[in-house]
Amino acid sequence: MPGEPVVKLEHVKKVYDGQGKPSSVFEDLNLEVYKGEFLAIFGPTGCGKTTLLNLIAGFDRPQKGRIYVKGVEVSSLPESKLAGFRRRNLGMVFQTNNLIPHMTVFENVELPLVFSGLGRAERKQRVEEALKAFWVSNYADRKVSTLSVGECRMVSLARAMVTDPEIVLLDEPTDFLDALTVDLLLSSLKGKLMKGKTLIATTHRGRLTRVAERVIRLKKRLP
Amino acid sequence: MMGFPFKSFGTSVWLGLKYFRIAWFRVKLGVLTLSMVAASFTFFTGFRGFETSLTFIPVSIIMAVAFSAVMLHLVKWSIHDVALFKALGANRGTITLAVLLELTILGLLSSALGVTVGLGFIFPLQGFKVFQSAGVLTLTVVLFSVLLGASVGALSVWRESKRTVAEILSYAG
Ligand SMILES: Nc1ncnc2c1ncn2[C@@H]1O[C@H](COP(=O)(O)OP(=O)(O)O)[C@@H](O)[C@H]1O
Ligand SMILES: [Mg+2]
Repeated sequence: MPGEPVVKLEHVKKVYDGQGKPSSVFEDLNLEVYKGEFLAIFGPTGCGKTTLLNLIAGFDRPQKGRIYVKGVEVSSLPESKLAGFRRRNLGMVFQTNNLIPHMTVFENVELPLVFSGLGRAERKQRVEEALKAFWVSNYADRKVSTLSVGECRMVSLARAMVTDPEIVLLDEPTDFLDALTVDLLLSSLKGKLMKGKTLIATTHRGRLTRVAERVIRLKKRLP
Repeated sequence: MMGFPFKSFGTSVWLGLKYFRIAWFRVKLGVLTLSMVAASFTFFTGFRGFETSLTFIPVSIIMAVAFSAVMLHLVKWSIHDVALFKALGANRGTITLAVLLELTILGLLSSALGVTVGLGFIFPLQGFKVFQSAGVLTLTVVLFSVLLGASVGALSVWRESKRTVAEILSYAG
């Protein structure tokens, strides 16, 4: 792989204190992800896939080691700088979607653009494009609480992509989707939509790993 | 320190107003409790001579504390969303200001309703004397309680939002 890594983890240690019974997830994790790469993180439930994405996004901090995203050390970036950093560089699909159920599909997808301070007209255009890219244009005015789980996943993907982020973190993106939709999704992730983007996706099933350019396997640490 | 960026005021207004609408169950709960408190307060202060008596002071304090307690409780409901907003790139200041706006609007609406209801109850007992006794001082206390409650709620969000996203989500469920 050419060039500098866009995401780099050095000697990362992550332990959850778990109410007095510490559980170690990573002892010494090293990882480099390059620009434009589609990386799959594969492993069983509980091996630390979500934890890894949380660390990269700056949602959580490691006990030891450093995490760089686009050359910025996010593991030591103050909380006040992290929000802006995410807004400019990262898109995220949460394992549990984390959409706001009482807001409409449009409003949910619009949210990151509002935080970016974009004007109403441009927001509308971008949201419509994102909804179209993930086949949920018809649901724009529906409350999220009335959608199926699979439809929520699509809205969640649209929200992650709407700011046109350079790095996209996807936590189990193929969950809750039928085989046909998974194929559609994976080809669109791989296709022109994602040109130049760096994708890091987790999965506990094989499907996604066949499409990704590189797969790393995490093992579950025995307590 | 640029922790409270007023340049994102527009974003806060948008968020405050949208959020006010989307968190409808919270608004209902808030309006119900806050207007009841304001109504009771107006009812008592409506009695002749109450406003100028010493009892007015502790009752006013109870009023202000009750408003703050209710609003503090209301923002606890939204802590999960605060973490999500942070994850989607919102600044702490933007979120806090949005909550401040939301709570102020909620407080003003509820107290307007509460004062009207309170006057409705005391009027048959006191007649037009109500408007001589329950006057500027009562309204000042109501207004002060709204602003205090909204500030207390916003301050709590400001402090909570200092934590990492994972930390907030892990106890907000
Ligand atoms: N907040 C937390 N407190 C304590 N333990 C946690 C917490 N979050 C995750 N864990 C534990 O860390 C391990 C890795 O979790 P996670 O990253 O969610 O795994 P995955 O996404 O691969 O299923 C699991 O054993 C899980 O129980
Ligand atoms: Mg997970």
